[in-house]
Amino acid sequence: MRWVSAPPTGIKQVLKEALKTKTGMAAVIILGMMIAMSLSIPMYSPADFVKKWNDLKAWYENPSLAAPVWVKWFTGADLPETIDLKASHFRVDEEEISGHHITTYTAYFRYSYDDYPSELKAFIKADIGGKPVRLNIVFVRADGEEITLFNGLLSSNELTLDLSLDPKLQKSLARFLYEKTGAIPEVIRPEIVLFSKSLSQRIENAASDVLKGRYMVKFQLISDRKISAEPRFIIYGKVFGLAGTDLYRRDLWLGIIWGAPVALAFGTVAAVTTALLQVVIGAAGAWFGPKWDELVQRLADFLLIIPVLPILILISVIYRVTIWSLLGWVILFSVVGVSSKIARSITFQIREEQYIEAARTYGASKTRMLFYYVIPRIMPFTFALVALSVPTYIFLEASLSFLGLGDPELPTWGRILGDAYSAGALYQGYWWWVILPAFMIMLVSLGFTLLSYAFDKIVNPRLREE
Amino acid sequence: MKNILTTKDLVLYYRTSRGPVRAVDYVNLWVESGSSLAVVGESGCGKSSLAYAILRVLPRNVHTYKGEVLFNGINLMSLKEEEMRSKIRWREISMVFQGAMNTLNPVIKIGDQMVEPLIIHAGYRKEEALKEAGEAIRNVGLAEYILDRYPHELSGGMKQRVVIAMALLMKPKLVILDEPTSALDVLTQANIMNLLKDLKEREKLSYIFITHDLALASELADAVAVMYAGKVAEIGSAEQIYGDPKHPYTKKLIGSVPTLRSDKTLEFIPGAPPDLVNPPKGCRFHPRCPYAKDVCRREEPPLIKVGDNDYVACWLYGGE
Repeated sequence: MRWVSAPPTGIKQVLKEALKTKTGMAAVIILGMMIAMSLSIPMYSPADFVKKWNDLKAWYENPSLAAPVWVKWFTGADLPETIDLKASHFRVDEEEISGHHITTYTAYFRYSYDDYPSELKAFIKADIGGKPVRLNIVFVRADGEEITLFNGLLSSNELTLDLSLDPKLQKSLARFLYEKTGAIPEVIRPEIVLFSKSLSQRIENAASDVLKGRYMVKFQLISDRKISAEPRFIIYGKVFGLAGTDLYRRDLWLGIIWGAPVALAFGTVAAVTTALLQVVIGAAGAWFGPKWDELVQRLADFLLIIPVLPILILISVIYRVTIWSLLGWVILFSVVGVSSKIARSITFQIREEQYIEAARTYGASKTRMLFYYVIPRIMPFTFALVALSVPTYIFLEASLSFLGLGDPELPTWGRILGDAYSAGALYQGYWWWVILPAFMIMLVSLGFTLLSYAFDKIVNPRLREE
Repeated sequence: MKNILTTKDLVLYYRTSRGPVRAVDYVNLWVESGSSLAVVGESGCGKSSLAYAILRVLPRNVHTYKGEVLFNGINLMSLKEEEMRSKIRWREISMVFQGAMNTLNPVIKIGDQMVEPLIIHAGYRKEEALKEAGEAIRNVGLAEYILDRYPHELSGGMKQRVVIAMALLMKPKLVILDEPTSALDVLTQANIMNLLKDLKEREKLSYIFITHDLALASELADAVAVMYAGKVAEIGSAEQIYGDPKHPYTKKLIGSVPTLRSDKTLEFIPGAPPDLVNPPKGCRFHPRCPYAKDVCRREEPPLIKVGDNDYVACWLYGGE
């Protein structure tokens, strides 16, 4: 009798073998990328990222619904990025005229993009000591036209002017346009009026119409005392980062890289734990006698036919699930299953081997034989199954998050997709919000599927690549 | 001399769909302390079942298991399974299984499997146990690096030696060897036989040597028990059995052993061994026996004393 070399047992050995196949290589590259992504998180994101992700006020510096930066390469137009004029950009001039302190903050910036900005905001922080102060904000276009953005009293220590939606500014812009062209357009969008080349034409969101050049923003505080202030002016762009932003201005790239460790951890922990449990319980059932076997196998049949997703939906409607309690539920519903059946059939084979009889003779206990002789021989057969079931669990988590029933704190790919869906991202053309997280789910699934093929080839030598 | 092991009316029947298989049917035999008993017989006559019955390692389909197995005066049948496991097996009686290549777990290193009995029974730590195993492996003429090998890296003879070393690991008093050389070529066979003889002298072992090969048995045996269809046909000293066989079956068996380069026509026994589910009435050998009498067809012969320590189950030597 010629013996085929023994199937590999250790995880190390199987991984080493897996690397030799082409599919194994591809899988390792994809999954390695995911892992590198997860490991790079501390470099990108703040420690309290999860909290920040859920705090919608924390993202005000980013443009809303901006496409990824690399879209520029495909459109050919130089799409605007955000220009953030912070306090340090402003030159401070102080003068005193008849008892009035006038502090002027002036900042210049060059605008040479091919498209209009998406939004304008002015901020000011000043310690006014409870007494209102007069504030003027003046915008000077590249062609020298001067437009007053704000003229009024600053009555609190902080002021945020949402210029794109400010009705007063709309009125003053209407007046300005009427003086220049003799007509008032139906819709006045400040970010267009302030940056458009020709005021006499009908103002449209046309890329060719952008006035390029040196612009100026001036904050002027007039008071009877000396006041120091921190002005800020943000000209929001239309592209942002590697993955764009969502409706809530969140940097989707951060969400996507944060989704990687969550998906990897959830998928692998769920798959490995359930596989281990299923194998041990299935083998133990077959090993300790027909009654246990019957119990285990019928339970496995039961758990295999009940629909897990609807039950999980019910559970997450009733209880508030976190990613960990979700993991617990998933494991509970797969405590026995397909791997138990595989383990059972292999145990029946091994049970009849002579080395088991020998072990029995030299007094190994049943439990020892089970864990030392039987289960190590079953493990390799489940590797492929484990790798294949990782994407299943990732999909499961994504489905629940998509339905808004997943972990309410963690940014996951499913949750990003769910947010996109409820914001109607696809109808509105915010494709990056949908495609990137979906692509990541697909990529990670592909990685694990390829890995399972590679494992399959090792433990099933008939499939070996020549 | 004192008997180290005696079986009294040992019975082991297997359950099958056709009815019980009488693999070991009221077997009486004995092994003198420090000597070796060869159990010979055709394939399927219950030799291996006898070994399992003595060690009480039973398959799941046991129908009947009764009788007495006296080991140094203790009836093993009265011990609890746990006592049997922790006190008798391997400490007192160990076994070398048929087909060493299948006795070794293919995915565990030799050393790791060899130390199993030590860890289980003697509570050794792994390093101590490995040291002990190294000694045992040298004892059977192998180098210590073998411990670091997997079974498939060894030759058949090496594996057989490993299995023998494993059986001797706990310094048992009685070793049951179940066809220890059946899958080996004659030179390796001779090698192993010399090793067994050597070990017997050195370690003062008793053997039960189970084989179908009469010539091989003569190498090692002090006494021989001939089994036929689950029963002992003849038991006695080696000189007696080989020199002056009494039972017609033994005679035929010895006559069928080939000799090198002689013109002798080999004898054979007409007919086939009986079906152990429905054994023939009376003496089980009578359908194939040239001397069969009426009584042989009617009644089973008892063991009849024919010499000092020699017994034969045949009506030709007594009774009516």
